[in-house]
Amino acid sequence: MSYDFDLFIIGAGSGGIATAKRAAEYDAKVGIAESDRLGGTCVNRGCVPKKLMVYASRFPELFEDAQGYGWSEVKSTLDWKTMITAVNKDVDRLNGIYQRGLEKFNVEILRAHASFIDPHTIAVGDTKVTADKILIAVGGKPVKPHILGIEHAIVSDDVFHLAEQPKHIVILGGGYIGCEFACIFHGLGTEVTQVIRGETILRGFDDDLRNEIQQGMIQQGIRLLNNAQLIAIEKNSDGVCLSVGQGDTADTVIADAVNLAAIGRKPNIQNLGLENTGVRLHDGAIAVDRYSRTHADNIYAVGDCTNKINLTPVAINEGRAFADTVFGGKPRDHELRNYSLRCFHHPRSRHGWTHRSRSQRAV
Amino acid sequence: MYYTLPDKEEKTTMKLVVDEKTNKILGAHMVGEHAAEIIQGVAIALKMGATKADFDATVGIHPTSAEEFVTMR
Ligand SMILES: Cc1cc2nc3c(=O)[nH]c(=O)nc-3n(C[C@H](O)[C@H](O)[C@H](O)COP(=O)(O)OP(=O)(O)OC[C@H]3O[C@@H](n4cnc5c(N)ncnc54)[C@H](O)[C@@H]3O)c2cc1C
Repeated sequence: MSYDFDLFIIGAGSGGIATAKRAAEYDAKVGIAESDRLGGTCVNRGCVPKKLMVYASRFPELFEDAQGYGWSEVKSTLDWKTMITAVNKDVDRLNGIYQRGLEKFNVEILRAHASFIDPHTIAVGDTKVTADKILIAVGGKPVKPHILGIEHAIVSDDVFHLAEQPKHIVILGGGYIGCEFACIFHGLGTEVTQVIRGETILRGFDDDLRNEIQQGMIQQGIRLLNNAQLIAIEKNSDGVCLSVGQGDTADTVIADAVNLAAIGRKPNIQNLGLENTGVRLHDGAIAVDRYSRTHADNIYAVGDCTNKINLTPVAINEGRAFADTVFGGKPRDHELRNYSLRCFHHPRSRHGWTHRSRSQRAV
Repeated sequence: MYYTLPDKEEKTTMKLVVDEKTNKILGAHMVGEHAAEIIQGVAIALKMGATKADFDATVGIHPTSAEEFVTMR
């Protein structure tokens, strides 16, 4: 039986785009569906805009350091709107680059939501396409926990579109994204309170590094509430008022923005028609083996929707390994034993040294 | 990436010299910001006799310029 495509990919994020190009290089006829902007989380609301904001946040410190090297005092203020507009303009530029990249490889781009009708047929918007192999690369999205008043909180996606700079932001979560946002906002001049559930930030990294970074962030001026839990959020004339429980005591924090820094993300598998395919789930994510195979013969999945290690280079590597194996005749699995983790936080001690950590760990 | 918002035409160059027969990396070069910091780690790989395949099989750290060393075709 002949299909419209050799490979059809659902989701044009980090994993989907890399796979499309690699498979097309092996002369596969490839189609890709994307319901939002090209580039996915990484380009539009993750790695890229975040790193640009990391750069933006470093200048006050450089201005200060310059005096030690003989420069006169620099007085400068941030125009938030200029910064956030420039960041988003660069995201637009990258969207264009992705589009041209896919076109160059003759990948057909269908700009609509896709869902399975059967294991070889997909509805994309109003059209139907068929494909021999199908790759699910739908990524994930933030979820809000069930807390009273949670509608007053923003998620990491919203940070890149705030019209004004918050004066005082509360960041919930001690993972790498939470720590990065805490340091970014602090650097940009916003007062930051970070609320974490455990004793120490960055679970999963080595304890000595976690402590060092935590101390650095506190000394730098970030207020950390640890062993703490958010009980409720209320909106009043002062801004947002949070009750935070720490052991037996409850504290109230008043701020003008509450950011849920990726404390919960879940795969984008709603309305995907997975029930028509034989694909199975594991803990709410798509279950795959180390060749990215799902339980359905012709269907594969890579990236955040499989919820293993949610990082861009991992999604890319999984996708390319799949294309090499299935279309290139070069079978390889994706090795997850050895990978690099880094965090673009920026603790700075009172003594003026700076520190960026990148740690390697094995799983 | 840093230079995109200031709209500056700063170029970073990275180069690997590979032995076509053995696939071994013979040299690594970089011109650009933080070149010294980045090349130190690469030097260890060269000292250990890394091949281009070893570089390719290494997962990058994103977004950095250093990751270009493991994503060259
Ligand atoms: C704030 C933040 C910062 C981050 N920083 C870093 C970092 O510094 N370094 C790093 O390596 N990683 C970082 N990450 C993680 C990284 O962004 C993800 O791991 C990566 O984007 C996953 O790629 P993916 O292809 O699996 O999914 P995504 O990039 O999310 O792409 C999935 C795409 O599928 C589309 N889609 C979903 N469902 C459908 C459907 N039914 N039909 C059509 N299209 C659909 C979506 O619109 C989306 O464009 C960060 C994440 C966040 C949230």
